Amino acid sequence: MTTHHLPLTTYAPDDAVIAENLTRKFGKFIAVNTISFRVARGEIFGFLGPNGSGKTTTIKMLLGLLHPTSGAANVLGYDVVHHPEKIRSMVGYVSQKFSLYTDLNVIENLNFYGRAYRVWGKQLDARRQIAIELAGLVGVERELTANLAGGFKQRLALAAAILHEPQLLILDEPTAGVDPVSRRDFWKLLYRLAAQGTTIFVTTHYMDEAEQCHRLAFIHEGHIVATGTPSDIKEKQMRGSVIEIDCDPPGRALEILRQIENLDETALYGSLVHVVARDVAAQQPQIERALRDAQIAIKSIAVIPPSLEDVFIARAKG
Amino acid sequence: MSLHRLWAIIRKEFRHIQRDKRTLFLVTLSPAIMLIAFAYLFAFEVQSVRLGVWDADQSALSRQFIASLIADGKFSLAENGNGYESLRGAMMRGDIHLGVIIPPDFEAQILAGDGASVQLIADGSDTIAAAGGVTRFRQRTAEFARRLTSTSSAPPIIVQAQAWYNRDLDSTFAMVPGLVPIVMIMPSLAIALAITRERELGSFETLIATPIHAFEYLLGKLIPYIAYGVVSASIAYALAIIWFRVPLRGPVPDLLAMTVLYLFASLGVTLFICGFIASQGTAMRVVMLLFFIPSFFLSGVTLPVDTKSGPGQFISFLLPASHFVQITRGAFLKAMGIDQLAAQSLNLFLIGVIPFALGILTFRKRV
Repeated sequence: MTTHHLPLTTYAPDDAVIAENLTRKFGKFIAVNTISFRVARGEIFGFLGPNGSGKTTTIKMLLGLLHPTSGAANVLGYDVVHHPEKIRSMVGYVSQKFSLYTDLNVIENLNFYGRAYRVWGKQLDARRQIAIELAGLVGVERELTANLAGGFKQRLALAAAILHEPQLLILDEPTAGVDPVSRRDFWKLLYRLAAQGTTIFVTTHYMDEAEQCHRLAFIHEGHIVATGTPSDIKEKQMRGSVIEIDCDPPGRALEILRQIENLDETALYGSLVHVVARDVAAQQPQIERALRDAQIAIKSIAVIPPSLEDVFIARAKG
Repeated sequence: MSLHRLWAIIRKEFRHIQRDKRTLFLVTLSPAIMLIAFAYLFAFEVQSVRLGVWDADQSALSRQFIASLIADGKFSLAENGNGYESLRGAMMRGDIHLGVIIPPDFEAQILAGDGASVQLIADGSDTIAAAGGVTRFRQRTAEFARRLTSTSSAPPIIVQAQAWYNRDLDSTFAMVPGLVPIVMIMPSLAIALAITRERELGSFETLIATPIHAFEYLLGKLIPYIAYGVVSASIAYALAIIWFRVPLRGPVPDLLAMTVLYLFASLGVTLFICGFIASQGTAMRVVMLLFFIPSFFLSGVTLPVDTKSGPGQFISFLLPASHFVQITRGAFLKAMGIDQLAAQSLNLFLIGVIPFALGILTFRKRV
């Protein structure tokens, strides 16, 4: 195992997380492949990628639960390999799957996690009350966790992770399987915590959530393929232009368009077809001709600004 | 190490136990219920005790006596011996449970009205068959004697019973203390299910992301199960004393202290092994295969260990039940205290402390 300390010069106190060439292999499989990124203190950093892209492996390395095969990471000023206990005591973690104890009630769960982070006595009572109010758990304090609805469970998991006032919160797909209203409430909470100075590192595959992050990194098959603010990614990192076509029938159109060479990407967005073209001037007439020849009626065709998803799909391809 | 954090884990673990009926049952009443079942199972198992008879008298009355013993089939005649050595050989081979020696003057003494004495030798290493057999033999002999002398009140046949390999053999249920190590595997099953459930639910993943130390977690898990284990063992002991009338001759505090050591050993091994198991189903099978079945056959509870070959003996040494069966039998029947059972106690401590230490070292490597 070849891990190394980050050179001291690269550590800036403004950074909550620094990863440099972080790599983790499982046998021959490279789960995380030489990724580098920084998370500034106080920002909401979105870590995006499909399932199996390396998000959870990266989080486990940041928490010191998995050692990097090579490369290094520094969290809140501490090296992940050498000082995992220091890091764990300053970080709050909400795992992908709801993992609090279902046979304990809300207060018992909070007390347990508070004490696990060495918060107890009057301090625990005070912070527990704040967390309960913040997370909207007033009224269900004595309820068995098993009986709580999904949105409540998620907010309870968050409340349990903030009792020790962590400088950094790491959330692994915290809203997976939660209804849209609860998701929105949950994100409001994250904003409040960020406003109080907590750095938030969150993974998601919901694009509407990604839009709400200050900065994003997109990981695909172990590689980071794009980083930047959401607007920066949409405006500057798209290779080619997105042409949106409203036509009938769209499924048939997709088949026709896939036979045209040089088109980077063709995909259905609802009933609309999105095509990524490197050279709009040359390729748009080509597309229109192909569809007309196939007797597909084009209602509208126009170049539109790319969405985050467009960029990520395009970047993931190459 | 934080005592506060340890206490938080202990409290949480007690709550888990109290709120799950299955776990609560496993760590309180299930050992006592199993003990009753096993005790009767083995007591009735004694239906066919194999006899070896050395009839030195060869008289009509001695043959009549033998015939009356085996009349209802609960004793079977497996060996016709012609001396102590032939009986001993048969017993060593496991062919017979009891050896009966009828003296040459058996018929003459009875006819003279002096009363004869019959010698009975029991295989003390097979307590289950032997204990039941001795009691039944005494009953049969008394019945035979009563039929001979309907007038006299004093039975003319005296049974001089002697157990080889174990002298404290007098009741049908003398084997009950020896069954305690087996029924006390239930707390291990409970902790195995608890630790794998925590893993299945994903709680373990969140737990290891907290600054909780491996030592705090493992000790915090162990203590509640040891506490409940002592409760369930005490119920089983009370049952042995009150229901099965087995005298507890050794000091009670010593027995309880050694019970704690047994629980530490069996729970410590379980905790370590189940740290590498992902599902409750697998954990249950592992506990059964690892403890339950070998404890039955290799710990000396049901079969004498010294007749086993090398590997069996080695596995037997590693089994906490092997040491604890000597402790429960010693404490109940031989009035032994922890000072006389120091070697067994030390073995139990070592069997527990080594996996416990390994468990600490490998704790966070199980992600």
